[in-house]
Amino acid sequence: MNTTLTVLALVAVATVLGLLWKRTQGRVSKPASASVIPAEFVTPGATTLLQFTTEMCGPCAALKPQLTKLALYRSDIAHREVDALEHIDLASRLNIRSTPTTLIVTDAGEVVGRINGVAPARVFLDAIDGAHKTAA
Amino acid sequence: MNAQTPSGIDPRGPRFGATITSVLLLIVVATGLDSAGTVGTLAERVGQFPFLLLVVITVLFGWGAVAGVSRHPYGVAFKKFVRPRLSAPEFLESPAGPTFAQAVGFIVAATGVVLHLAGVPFGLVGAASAAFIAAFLNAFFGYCLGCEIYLTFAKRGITFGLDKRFGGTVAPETDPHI
Repeated sequence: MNTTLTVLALVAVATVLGLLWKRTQGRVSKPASASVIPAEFVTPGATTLLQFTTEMCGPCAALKPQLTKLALYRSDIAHREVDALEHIDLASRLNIRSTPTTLIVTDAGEVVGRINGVAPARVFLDAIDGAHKTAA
Repeated sequence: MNAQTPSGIDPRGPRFGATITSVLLLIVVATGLDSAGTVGTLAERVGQFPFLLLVVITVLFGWGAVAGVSRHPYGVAFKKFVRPRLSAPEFLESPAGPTFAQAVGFIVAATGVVLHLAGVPFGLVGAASAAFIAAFLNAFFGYCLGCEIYLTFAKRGITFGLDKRFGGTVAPETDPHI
């Protein structure tokens, strides 16, 4: 009986941890503090989807064409890919702990949203439009 | 598989392996709980089923860490029996992270083996539980704890030579060597 309960408790703990992690994926969050991105990563006149990636990251490769397509469809959206390992200082300053992490950056270089992991294109569009409304 | 010929693996392969590993680790925990609090003689401890199973799991983790996940028995089984029945993967990933995860699993499982041999109560069950949680998260949620640890090291320029062995570049989705 005790063994069964302990095993069930172990599975429950692992499940809860997994669900907690899953909750952080594909969700838009607002940055805790104001961050400004260097001009070289910002696109004038457009909101930039700044995707932090690493070469070893498979999901990053899956997300990239999705964001590239968004940028092709909407002229007010740009997509930039940044290798987190090559820009380690920037990644550390922006608290990039896993890849892919995508920041929504205004043309003034201000970070207005953050999405960890892979999410449907609609999530990115809603986040950008939401940021535009807040700014307006 | 080296830096000159970088190729990616189907990310479902490591998850397939993690599913088997998590079941085996859960069996270790379930069968090891009854005797976890008692020490017994070394001969008794060595002959216990959960100990022997954890030794097998440790060897398999070591195999994956040294040979790479693609050459691990679960990787080979996935490629031969499971992969042909699945649709093409959405993306490929570098084997570097999953291979490092095998090394992390090896360290955790080996710790359990050593603690059990040393007669530390709950040492085997504790290590198996920790390894189970990591394997379960990988298998059922796609969260690879070892890969995240590898990324933390890689950010500091420490790659343990895995980038040279496997390359970081992900192959096209039509790679026939998946």
